[in-house]
Amino acid sequence: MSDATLVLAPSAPLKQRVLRSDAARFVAPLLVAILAISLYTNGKNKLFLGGDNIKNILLQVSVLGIIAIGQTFLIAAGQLDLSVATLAALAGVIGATRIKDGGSELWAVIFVLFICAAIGLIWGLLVAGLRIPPFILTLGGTSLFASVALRISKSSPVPARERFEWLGRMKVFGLQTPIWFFLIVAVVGAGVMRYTRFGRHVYATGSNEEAAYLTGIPTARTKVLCFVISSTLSGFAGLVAMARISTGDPRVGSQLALQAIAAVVLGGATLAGGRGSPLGTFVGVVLLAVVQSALTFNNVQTFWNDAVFGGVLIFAVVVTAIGDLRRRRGGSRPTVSASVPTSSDPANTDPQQGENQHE
Amino acid sequence: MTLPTVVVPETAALVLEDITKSFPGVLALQGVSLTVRAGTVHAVCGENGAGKSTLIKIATGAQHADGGIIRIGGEVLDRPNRRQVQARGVRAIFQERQIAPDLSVTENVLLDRLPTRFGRVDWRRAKRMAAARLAELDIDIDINAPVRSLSVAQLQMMEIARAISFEARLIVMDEPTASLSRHELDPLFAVINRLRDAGVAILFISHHLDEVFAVADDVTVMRDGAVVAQGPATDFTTASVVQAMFGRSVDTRRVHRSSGGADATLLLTVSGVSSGRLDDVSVSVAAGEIVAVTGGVGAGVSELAQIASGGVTPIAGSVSVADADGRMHKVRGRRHALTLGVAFLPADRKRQGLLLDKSVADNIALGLQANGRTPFFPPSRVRRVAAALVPRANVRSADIDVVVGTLSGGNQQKVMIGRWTGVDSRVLIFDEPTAGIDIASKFEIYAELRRLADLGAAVLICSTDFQEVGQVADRVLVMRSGRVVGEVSGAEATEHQLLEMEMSL
Repeated sequence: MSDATLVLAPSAPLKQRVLRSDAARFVAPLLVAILAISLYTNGKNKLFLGGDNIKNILLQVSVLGIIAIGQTFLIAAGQLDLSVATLAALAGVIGATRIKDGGSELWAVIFVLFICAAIGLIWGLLVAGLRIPPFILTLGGTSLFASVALRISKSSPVPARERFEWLGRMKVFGLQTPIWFFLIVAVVGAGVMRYTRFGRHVYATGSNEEAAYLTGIPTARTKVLCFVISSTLSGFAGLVAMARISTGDPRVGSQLALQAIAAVVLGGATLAGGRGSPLGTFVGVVLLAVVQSALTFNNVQTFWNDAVFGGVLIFAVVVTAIGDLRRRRGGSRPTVSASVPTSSDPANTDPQQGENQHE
Repeated sequence: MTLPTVVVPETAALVLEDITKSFPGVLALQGVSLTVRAGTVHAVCGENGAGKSTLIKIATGAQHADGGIIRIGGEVLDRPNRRQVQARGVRAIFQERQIAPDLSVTENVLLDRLPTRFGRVDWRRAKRMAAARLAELDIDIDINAPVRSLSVAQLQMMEIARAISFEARLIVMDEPTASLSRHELDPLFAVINRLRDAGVAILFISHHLDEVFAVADDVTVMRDGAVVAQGPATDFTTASVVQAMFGRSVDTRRVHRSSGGADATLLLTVSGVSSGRLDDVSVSVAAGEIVAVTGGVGAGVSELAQIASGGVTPIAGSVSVADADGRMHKVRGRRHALTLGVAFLPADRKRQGLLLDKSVADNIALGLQANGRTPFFPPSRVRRVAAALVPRANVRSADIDVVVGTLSGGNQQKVMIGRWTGVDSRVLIFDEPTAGIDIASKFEIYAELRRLADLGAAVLICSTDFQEVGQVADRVLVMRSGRVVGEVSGAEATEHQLLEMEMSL
């Protein structure tokens, strides 16, 4: 209208933007939950918030965390990979086997990561090229990898001797390397998702793939890359898990896939795609670990662990769904006024007639 | 009036008297009366929105009239439901096929009336019955074939066979020719004639007037929910029906036209494209020009938009776009088209255009996010881009953080336009640019199209709205059944004339 080049559209007030941001809506409640659980447990046992336990919690959760960050890319793009857990086990077995045969550690790591990246590439090409639903495809992969891992290891854990120190047990600035790996992967992942063009493509693809494609976003390439990232990170997580116990265990962490998906969803993602962030996933993973540790500290019998895990997840998604429902119904106004604008606003009665004339 | 229980040897299969129906804010039908005589074809013509669909829904029991009388075979029905209407022999064949694609022809023809013996389906008898139905109409379809393998025309025949398997008194056909190609029409007309000879009444809805005159005994013309002309088909000519359909004053406002530039360089060339519905279609658009491609339902206008944008690869033919140096490049896909400066604004914005759950900022910056090569695109840049583009595209939104799904259709389309002005698109392809948009916003969008063209863009509009193409386009191509059947200059394109071109070959 008026001198258009100089006019800038306003942003929402900063306070509103902060309140509506994913960080406020999903991450803050998780932090509150983590804090509440920690303080409660710490009240009973001062060791809970001691440095050793905090390090221990982070160490316990680092393998899950690395896998979950990878899964965040996939879920944000509207995809899913159920095979990450058995792929991690397979990666550990292959890594340990390479060492047993006397190869160099670095080459073993590169070899494993290459294989995992190739598997991710295959998943991505099948999903993007043939439009195979990733759920079924990777469900098949889950069994396949588990079987291959058992075959390679001849069904028994493969000792890695005292190698891979730097990958699993070495301490840097007082923290063990797996913790560092988890932190680095989370920070880099968050940066990629938030600041790169690729990250924007991931969200656009997950939010509305057809619209993204017709806009010209390389949706197929984006999906393939997400699978490659996730599979490679899972392979790396598998190597870290192997290095921590110096053993390539073909049966390690069968629950990791579902826990990773749970952590991503806790962090604000929806399986429909378009939402989710590595930051949220990080906090989600920590919450799962804190809950687990708190159960141990409070001497809750172990068979309750899964029930609590499931309960936390169900509670979180129900609360999120209720929040979304409110937002959709009310918008910024209370529900009651929803029907008022249609009748009172003259600009809104015109379109109806206009539409009818031309339909 | 006749007593409902007495079956009078009446010749009227369906009588509608003074039917009214209103939707919130709109009077859809105002006192519509018509009689469909047994053994005749009664055609109802009218523009989109004239009330044809509402009339069918009321006649078939899908909706209730607010007032008026419905008589089927002499029996007065008060606000009948679908089941009651069907029980009296009224069948409808809609544009959306009502079939079970994985079942056989036999099952589809007999549907829930498969004959049983001792509780089990008697397949031998079923096949005999289905074959008999098809033979009655002289329809040549293999009853054992899976329905998935049939052509559109065969599916339609199958649905007609199903309709008569229920002892039909009246068959309603809603735009039966819309998805048929030219040579598939004659078999349909043959079947219609056979039904008529058997005493079945047919209510034939179409806006293709040559078809109407080919089969109809009686004609009713509707406009704005009312009957404006009615009588034997012999009393009408194509011209008089069109006159009746468009009797209202047409808004003839036009947006300012470019003064020409006949030597302007061609930016978009679609040559000899065939695919699905399209048959050897060629269009070219020069810089500064707005070209519209128009046609009725089933003409393939939307398919052309998809192909021209690179979103769909044609089976034959090609799409070429000129680069900044004027060299033509053959488009290899949607992303390749984008890099050549081709913007695409789909008709279904919610499904194919917008990230509905994202903000205005995210949506308007999407074109730039898709197009560039730099690896980084931080949120600060999204906001900066959006702050500049939102006012330029004249989007009315409180701020750039509003979720785009909450905006009106007009503002959503402006967000789409803004997305493409951000990337300096040189070719813009609009599929139904103002579908679902109020009149005031329509003209703003037309003005915006013209402004983009004046800045040197080539604009291709694919629209089924005849009025619209007359108002904005410099040249208009008319399509029918996948082929271009005529071209007129925008200055000469009246709704009336386009309709005549589209309807008569």
